[in-house]
Amino acid sequence: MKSLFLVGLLTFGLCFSANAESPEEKGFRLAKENEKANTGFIGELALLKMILINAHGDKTTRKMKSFIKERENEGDYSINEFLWPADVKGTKLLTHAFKEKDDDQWLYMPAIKRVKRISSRNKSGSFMGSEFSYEDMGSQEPEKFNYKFIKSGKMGKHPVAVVERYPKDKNSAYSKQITYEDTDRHVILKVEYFDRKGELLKVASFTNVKKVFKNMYRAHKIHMKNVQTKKESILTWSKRKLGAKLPDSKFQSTKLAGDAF
Amino acid sequence: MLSKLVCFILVATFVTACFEAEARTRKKRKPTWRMKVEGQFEPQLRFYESDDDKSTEDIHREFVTRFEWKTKKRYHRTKLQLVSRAVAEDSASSSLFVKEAWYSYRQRYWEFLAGANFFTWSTLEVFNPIEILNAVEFIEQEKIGEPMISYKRFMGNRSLQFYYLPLNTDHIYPSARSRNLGLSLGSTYWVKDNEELYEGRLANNFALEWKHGLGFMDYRLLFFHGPDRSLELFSFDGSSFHPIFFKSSMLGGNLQAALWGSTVKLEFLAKSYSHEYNSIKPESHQVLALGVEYPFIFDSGSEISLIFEWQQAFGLENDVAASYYSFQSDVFLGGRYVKGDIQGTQVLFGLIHDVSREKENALSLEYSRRLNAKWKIELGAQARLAPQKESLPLGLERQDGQNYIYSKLFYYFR
Repeated sequence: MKSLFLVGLLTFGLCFSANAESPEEKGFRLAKENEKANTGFIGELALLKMILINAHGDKTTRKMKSFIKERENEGDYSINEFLWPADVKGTKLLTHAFKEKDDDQWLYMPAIKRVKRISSRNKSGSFMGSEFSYEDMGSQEPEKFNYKFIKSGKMGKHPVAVVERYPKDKNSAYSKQITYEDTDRHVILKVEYFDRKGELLKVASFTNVKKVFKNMYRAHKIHMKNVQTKKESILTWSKRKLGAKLPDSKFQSTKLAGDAF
Repeated sequence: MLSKLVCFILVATFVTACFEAEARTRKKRKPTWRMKVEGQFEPQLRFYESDDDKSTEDIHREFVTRFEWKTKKRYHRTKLQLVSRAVAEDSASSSLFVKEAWYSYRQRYWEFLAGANFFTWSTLEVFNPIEILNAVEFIEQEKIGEPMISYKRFMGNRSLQFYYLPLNTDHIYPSARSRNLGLSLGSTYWVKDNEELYEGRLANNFALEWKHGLGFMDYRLLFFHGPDRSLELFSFDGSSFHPIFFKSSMLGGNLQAALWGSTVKLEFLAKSYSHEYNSIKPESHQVLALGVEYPFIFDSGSEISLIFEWQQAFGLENDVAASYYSFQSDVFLGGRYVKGDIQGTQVLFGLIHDVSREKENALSLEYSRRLNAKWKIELGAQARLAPQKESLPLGLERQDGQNYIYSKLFYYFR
């Protein structure tokens, strides 16, 4: 009888504690689960194509190569090397992402062989004239946001968690983001970005989700629409390879100067 | 039936074996040389403010060609970059030079390089006291490849590089008809010792560079022993002026840090000289430069970065410093506007003001945008406002009246 009482008490306690999880805690937990499910990719190589569409419908294309190195318990290292258009060919953006503090960023300009540091304020600036900002392209560490779980739902046949997240960084271009996370495959399917005034600014749709490495899924297409300027950018991945072993030395600013090939 | 089956099995085995052998060969295939050829054509137009001097050209029509040829095979790389400038009205100002012509062997932790190459040490936009390694083409201050043998050692976020530079490389000057100089120059004097010049171009110059990335900041320390080509000194032999370069030991460094949302840059260089030629003896001195870049980002995707820079020469009298440099005690205030559009539209503007000498100012304005993926246009203007105050022009006075507007068209090919 005593043990039955204890089991009952424990069950009640567990139920209570589960119910006691606040929307903020649940939002953070989901982000951490997403991070955990995507941990272990080691390194990633990919070719990226970005189509920029202005308000009149004119299109232009950017191409780049991307290298990412996963780091344990810290943000990732990444290099984006521009391949097209011709005037920016060989330009490289090196990012050392961190969970808590501002990312370190360097830009290498091949025509003059100069390595320039990028200020953390630049993160809200446009990436290559696109609707993506530097912070959209950077590593989305869970610790960089405060969260609030809104609801569960479905997008197509996939269960999603709708979560609001608020950037902690005062230099962020956003006051709020609403994410729609596929809780089965642990990929984000949609993000709504709100500007500093709280107005809806952009909507990103993540499609062409494929299993790429172990149990990891990645969206291979992001369609970003700026609802205020009516401009759009479409980013697609090809030749994506996860599990690549890339040396730490490749991601040092001292080694950034080198010819794009 | 059996023989047909045996035949089929034999043929299938043979075909499979062939495919397997081919697959194995592919796996074992040695890395091959990859090659790329690319470059750009740049028709340029410059309209100078008239100087009422028929011996100089007020309109410059120029055609610049850049050609790059690169190869790579595993650790081996080669690169050739040639630049030619054809000036229609003034063929004597036309030039062809090698910007890069080198072979390198690059491993994970070290790199060996032999050939002509250029490097950028400075991180500042306008004042670059530590840019001492390469000679320049005078019209656009573009670097010329310096023949060298170099060895670089990578140690995580640190690197150490040694340069041996066996030749004295001269600047490329335009002719006296060019408005960029307006002066007839004789051959360069390379001072080897007291009252002694180098007979040929062979020299024993060397440099050492240490770089270190420290979280929010990077710094670089360097030492260079070789000719100081940044001093604007001339020796007059009775008929013409000769650029004169003295051997110097230079110790310097720079630092760039991301602080308070801005990028802060600091550069210093200490120069010492020990030789004299034709009554000219440069005085040892130091140059310090400081820069701050602060960006403002707008919701439209555009941004403006405000740039402030200051450069000061120490250890020299004002007039002596002005005889060495055009910008010896100056501040720069300017900005870069990036529209954030698909054409990459950008506007650069700035004012340089001499704080120690009266009425010495320089203005510049530059607009550029991409026309499509292969074409780009640049329009701009430059003014040098520094009327001569004494018998000999000093500082920026040497560039007074070099006021022009220009257009450049870029076509990129590959």
